Amino acid sequence: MAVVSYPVTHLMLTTEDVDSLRRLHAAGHDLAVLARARELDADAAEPLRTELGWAEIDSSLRGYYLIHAGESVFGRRDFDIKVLDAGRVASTGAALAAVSRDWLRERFTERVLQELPGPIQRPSGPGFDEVWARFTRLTGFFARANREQRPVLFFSPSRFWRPPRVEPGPDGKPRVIRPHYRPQDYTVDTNATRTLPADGGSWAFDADLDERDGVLYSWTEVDRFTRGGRTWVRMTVGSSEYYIDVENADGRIGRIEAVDPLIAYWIARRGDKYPVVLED
Amino acid sequence: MGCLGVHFSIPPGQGGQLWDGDEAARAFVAELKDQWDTYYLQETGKAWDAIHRCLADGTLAWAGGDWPRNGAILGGEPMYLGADYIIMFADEDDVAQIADGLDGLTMAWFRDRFATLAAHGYQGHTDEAAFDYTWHWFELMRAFYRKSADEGRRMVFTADQ
Repeated sequence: MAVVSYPVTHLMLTTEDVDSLRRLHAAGHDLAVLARARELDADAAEPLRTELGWAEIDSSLRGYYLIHAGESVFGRRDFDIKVLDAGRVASTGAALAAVSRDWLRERFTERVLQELPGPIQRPSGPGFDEVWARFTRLTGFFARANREQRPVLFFSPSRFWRPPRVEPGPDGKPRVIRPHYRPQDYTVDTNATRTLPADGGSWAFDADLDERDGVLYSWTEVDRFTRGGRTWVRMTVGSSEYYIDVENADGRIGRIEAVDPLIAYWIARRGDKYPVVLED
Repeated sequence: MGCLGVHFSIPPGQGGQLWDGDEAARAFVAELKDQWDTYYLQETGKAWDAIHRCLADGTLAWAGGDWPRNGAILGGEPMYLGADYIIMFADEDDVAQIADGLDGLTMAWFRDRFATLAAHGYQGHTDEAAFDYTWHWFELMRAFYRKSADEGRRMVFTADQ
């Protein structure tokens, strides 16, 4: 899973807030849940916002401490909205308080800094000191919420790709609903490139692209161009909206590079067949 | 390092200070630079000169070439008239038109235009490496225009001379 930062907000709630979110969710009013979560976020006295560092904290703790636990009150996949009741807040707070700086540094080194297999490495993120500073803020937040016996709301846009969708507009004509540009949505998932050769291919270039056993067979060519006197093929995979550039180096796969997320956004937008409406 | 170009996208309704004279315009740009919000800016390095020439008529003239293609770098409203700096402004309608105008340009078209620059007085390199450099920044700038147009924003282009 790619370690790419994304914004996460923790808010302290009242039990009335929790009941209201649960009721809206149970009634299937997910849009109202989202609107209410945004309202709570805007009105919160001391929200804890963690963007830089969240993915690194999550990666380091995953499998050891459960920081994503909670009751989901949102049925769509484009946002993650969870309620942590007082009991869950207490157990999360206790778990976080047990994490030492050395222990977290060790996990961070193992899981975030290590080189990935394949040609694409994760985008550079914050260093450990920054991550530790964010982590201690998180620990402090949960300690406070626990002392005050407050439930907590976990509110975040999905960490996964948020796909655009086509739906009819007010005039009945189709339109594309696309989230505002967020680099994370157009950043190459390093899981998808693990099996690609980091040091050049061993087959003929076209065989790697066209033959069923070729390493790029599951990728789709979207463009072919010359750069630095060599042919490059721009490719995407599945229904994702990120791209890689693959160099044809003397008839074999050469370098493989991630396409800048902003350019990936442009390519994705070029493919939209209907007028586009952006949403948060 | 001098002569570096930067586009800043700003919300509609902002940028009024640009009409308050050179000093106010420079102060407004200085503030954008101080903030350096990487989500809402796009650098073009030293490539802005060659990019504009490719998109316009081969020269650095402000009015050269055809709208909206020529608007991406020097085609908006000039907001600073000193010789040491360039500040251009494009409103949200201009940004939308420019984004549309850039969308259809292919690498082959851009390469052809780039090959003619020397004949129009361009003194920079025009070899393959220079083309790659220019195209790299052009692609990012074009995508930045699309994002800014999608979000209904205005654009300020700046370069020191």
